[in-house]
Amino acid sequence: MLQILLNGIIAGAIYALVAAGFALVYSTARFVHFAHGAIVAGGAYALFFFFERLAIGFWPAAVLAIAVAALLGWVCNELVYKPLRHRGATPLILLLAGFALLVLIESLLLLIFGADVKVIRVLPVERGMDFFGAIITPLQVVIVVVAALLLVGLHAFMSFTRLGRSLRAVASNKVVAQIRGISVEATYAKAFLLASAIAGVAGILVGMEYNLEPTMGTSLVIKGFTGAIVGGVDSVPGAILGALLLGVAENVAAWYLPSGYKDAVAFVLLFLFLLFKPNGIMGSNKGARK
Amino acid sequence: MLELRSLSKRFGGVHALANVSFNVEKGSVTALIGPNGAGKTTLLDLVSGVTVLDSGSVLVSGVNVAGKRPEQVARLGVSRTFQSPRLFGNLTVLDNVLLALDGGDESFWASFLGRRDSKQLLERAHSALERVHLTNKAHSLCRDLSYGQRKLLELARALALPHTVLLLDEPLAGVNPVVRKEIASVVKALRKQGETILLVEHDLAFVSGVADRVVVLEEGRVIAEGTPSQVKRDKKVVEAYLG
Amino acid sequence: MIEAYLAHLLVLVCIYIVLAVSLQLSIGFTGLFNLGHIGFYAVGAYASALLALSGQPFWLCFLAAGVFAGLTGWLLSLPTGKLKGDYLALATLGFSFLVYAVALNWNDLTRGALGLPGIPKPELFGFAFSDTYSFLALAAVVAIASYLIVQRIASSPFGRVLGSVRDDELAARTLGKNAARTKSIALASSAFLAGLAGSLYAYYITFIDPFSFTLLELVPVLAIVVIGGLASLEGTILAAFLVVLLPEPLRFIGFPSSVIGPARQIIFALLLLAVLLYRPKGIGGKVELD
Repeated sequence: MLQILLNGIIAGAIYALVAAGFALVYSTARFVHFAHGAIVAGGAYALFFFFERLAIGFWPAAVLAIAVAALLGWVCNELVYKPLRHRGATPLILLLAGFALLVLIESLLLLIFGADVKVIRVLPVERGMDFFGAIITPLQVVIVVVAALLLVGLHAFMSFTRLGRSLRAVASNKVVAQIRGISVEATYAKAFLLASAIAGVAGILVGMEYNLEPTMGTSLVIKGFTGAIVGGVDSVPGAILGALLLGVAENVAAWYLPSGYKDAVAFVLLFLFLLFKPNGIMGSNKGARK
Repeated sequence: MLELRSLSKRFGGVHALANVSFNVEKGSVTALIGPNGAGKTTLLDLVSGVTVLDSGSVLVSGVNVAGKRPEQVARLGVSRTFQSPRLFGNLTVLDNVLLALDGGDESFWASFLGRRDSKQLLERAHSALERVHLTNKAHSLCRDLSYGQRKLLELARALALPHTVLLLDEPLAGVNPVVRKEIASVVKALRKQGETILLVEHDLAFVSGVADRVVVLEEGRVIAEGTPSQVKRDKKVVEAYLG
Repeated sequence: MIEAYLAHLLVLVCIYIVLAVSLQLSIGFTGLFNLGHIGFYAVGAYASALLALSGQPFWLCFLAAGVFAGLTGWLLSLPTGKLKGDYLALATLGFSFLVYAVALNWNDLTRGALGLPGIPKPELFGFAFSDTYSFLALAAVVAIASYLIVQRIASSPFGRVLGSVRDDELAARTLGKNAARTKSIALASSAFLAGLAGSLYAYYITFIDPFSFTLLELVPVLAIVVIGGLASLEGTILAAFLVVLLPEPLRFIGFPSSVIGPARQIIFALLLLAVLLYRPKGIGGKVELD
């Protein structure tokens, strides 16, 4: 049982990074950034390219991967979302555009890297350590620690920095923020950069723990937004909590059900929350059903 | 005709309406006035089922409609307009009125039998439009109308819906003087015809000209009630408006 | 040979027309942002294939495909009726993933990833639609019938009620319209037609597996609807030809199929983005969603 919980937390830690970025964009710009999963995939493939193909060493490759992800997110916003917002497009149109971007980026990855599964070997495969009867590998410890540090850092950033405060100001009331002299579009751009950089880190962790596939983005964005909706889509801490719950729920379900249904757990959870608690566990009322 | 008995509604911790009771007699016009945020629109929302009330009852021709859904309340004879008109923007002006009229077959299966709007139905729709001088716009899309035309069309649509009580939310607000005059004259004509109307309006000159009774709301409570001239002399009302 | 290839493409055009005009019924005419259309398509395909493999006649399998899918649509509409905009989009998307997961994992019924091979060619009144040409005739009849059905519904008094619910649900209700029931009927009939498309597909290819019904399959259908323009059936039909035929030259240039697959998706995604950005009403769009 502890092993299930542990596996759940490891998966949940990665989902939490995806969900946090997703919720960051949703809470500021108020739309479903569907291509967010593809940004994670882009980060993971960038790591693969720099580390495995160019062999430039792990740290430079990781930094470049984060930069690629951040740039990708920023480009999505500048070239697609921003012009659409200027035209007064509805959140639905933005969602549709995000879906198209997701498919576009995934297909490009497929075209460039091929359909075969890629593996990134940073740390040698080690035997797991015994942790009160459950097995955990050093890499998994790294994942949980990095995710936790990053999420705590994000929270501190949102609370104590100027940019963090302006993000929250735009999130709570666009008009008031504008009156106070905050440029809404510039804030959106920064939210995308930040969320996508976090997605880059998620991509690195995913790439080290699991295998790379071009379609990984779709599954990740669904995990991410399920986590966000379970926790409360306009609350970043809520999204993190929701993502951890999702990770645990998936692994518990995998224990009882055929393993193929593991991915379906997210949808069942998403469905149940959309229907019965659309604001999530920690969300406020203003996000949903407007 | 329309009886409100101790209506109450809270939003969060705030009393939007507290224990509001009054009647609208058949064939009379009652105006609801009060400062912004007094709960006037909330009251119309409660009566029409748009917002669910916490307690109290709303009797329409003796039937309690409290707690019913908006579509049920509408079928029990309550027709309303909104402060800012809610039209069907991608449909034509004519379609908006046709949707309110009864007598057509709007069922799913009927669409396969190729049933179209009867000539008589179309005539009724056109005469409804004539009343607000929108006949020449019948085939325009609603989203292409000016604000004043939208207000007029929504009024025509509310009249077209079979009803016993008419709720009008600020019929004169936000329109230019020409349209204002036009809407005012339609409302006055309705009164002559014996319509039962509850309206929310800020324009006191218009209210005293058209209303039989005036109910004054402040912070969710009725602070005065009576004929327009009685209410004008009421100390509490003067305070609420000037103080 | 070239004629057979053309006939094959036209069969695909017909199947996509059925899918796209039925999606217009929910998105364009009722404003229900239904991203679960592939799920209904899959339900129809599986229902039809399973019945056909058990020896049932074509007409029965074909109708059953529509009825099963329609019932699924009705059931889906009950819990999701309250959801608006992007929340409905996410919930219906979740539904289509659920269908996919069930198709992949319910081995006893669907044979999972192995799929269902050997679906017999359809037979009607002793006539077997065994070659591409006769199948094209059948598919064309279904496509034209679907167009006429949707056109009839949309232009009827019932269609006007659909439009009122799309444009302002609350206002429609204050005119006494039962919005919930109207939306259920719209989703169920949209799903019914998608089920028929699924049956056509299963009979045509004679083999189905869960991978024919992934999220990627939604991309061309959505592209057709958006390019055609919301609530424009004529535009939709033109767009179906465009979307099916446009990527075909890739074959003649001699790209391997590992390139054609992703290249097709890239074309669809770029088309979708270009229309959203530069021609939001598509070919003949009649409505603006807000």
